[in-house]
Amino acid sequence: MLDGDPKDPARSTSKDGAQHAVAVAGDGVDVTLVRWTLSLTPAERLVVLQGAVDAIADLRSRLGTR
Amino acid sequence: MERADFRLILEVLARHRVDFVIVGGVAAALQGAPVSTFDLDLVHSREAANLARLVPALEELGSYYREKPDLRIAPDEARLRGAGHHLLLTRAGPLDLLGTVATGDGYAELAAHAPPLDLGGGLRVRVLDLPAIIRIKERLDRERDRAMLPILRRTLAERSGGSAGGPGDD
Repeated sequence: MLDGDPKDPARSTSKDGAQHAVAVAGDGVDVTLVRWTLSLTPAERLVVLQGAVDAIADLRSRLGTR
Repeated sequence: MERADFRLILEVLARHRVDFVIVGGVAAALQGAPVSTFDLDLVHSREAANLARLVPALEELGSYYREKPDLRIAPDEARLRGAGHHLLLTRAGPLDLLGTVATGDGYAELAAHAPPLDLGGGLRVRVLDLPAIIRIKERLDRERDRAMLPILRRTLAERSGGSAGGPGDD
């Protein structure tokens, strides 16, 4: 588990004091998420996108909202 | 309510040999940006031969203008020839057909920046590349478009192996 350093969002410190490069870049973008989507093929990205849309639609449906 | 099915719309258009480029959020996602969207935005070729292929494809999808759903106005060649935006609802969800984008570019200009991508199952479609998507988003003065810019720039930087390079990123 990493403790974030509010003074430097590009770094964080673990319990044992070691510093690690962290997921969130200075612009607030989760770089690990970017790298994961880039590791997918375009066909896989379409499946992920469609899955996200379907999941939200399901949630909306269960909530009875549009 | 019609559920969005991006693949179905793309497959129908491809089967009718319609010339189009995917732009917007779906293009960004297909190019590797971790974004999600309900809108499928396409820029279609407004050449007469393409419009003659596009209209039957839209008929197959049960398309009509969603601004006035009660009237069920179907898109036709005359309307689709214009440079404006056509906000449609289909049996596979919303579909926005754009004659041109914010930079003023139409199909011919955008196709040069839209390599065909293999989406599996024999489906290959032109998808606007990240630099072009970023140029368009920068031109739009909408908050939701600007909010996406850091993600797009970071994705481009990760692909290029360099800095994101956007405003405020130096």
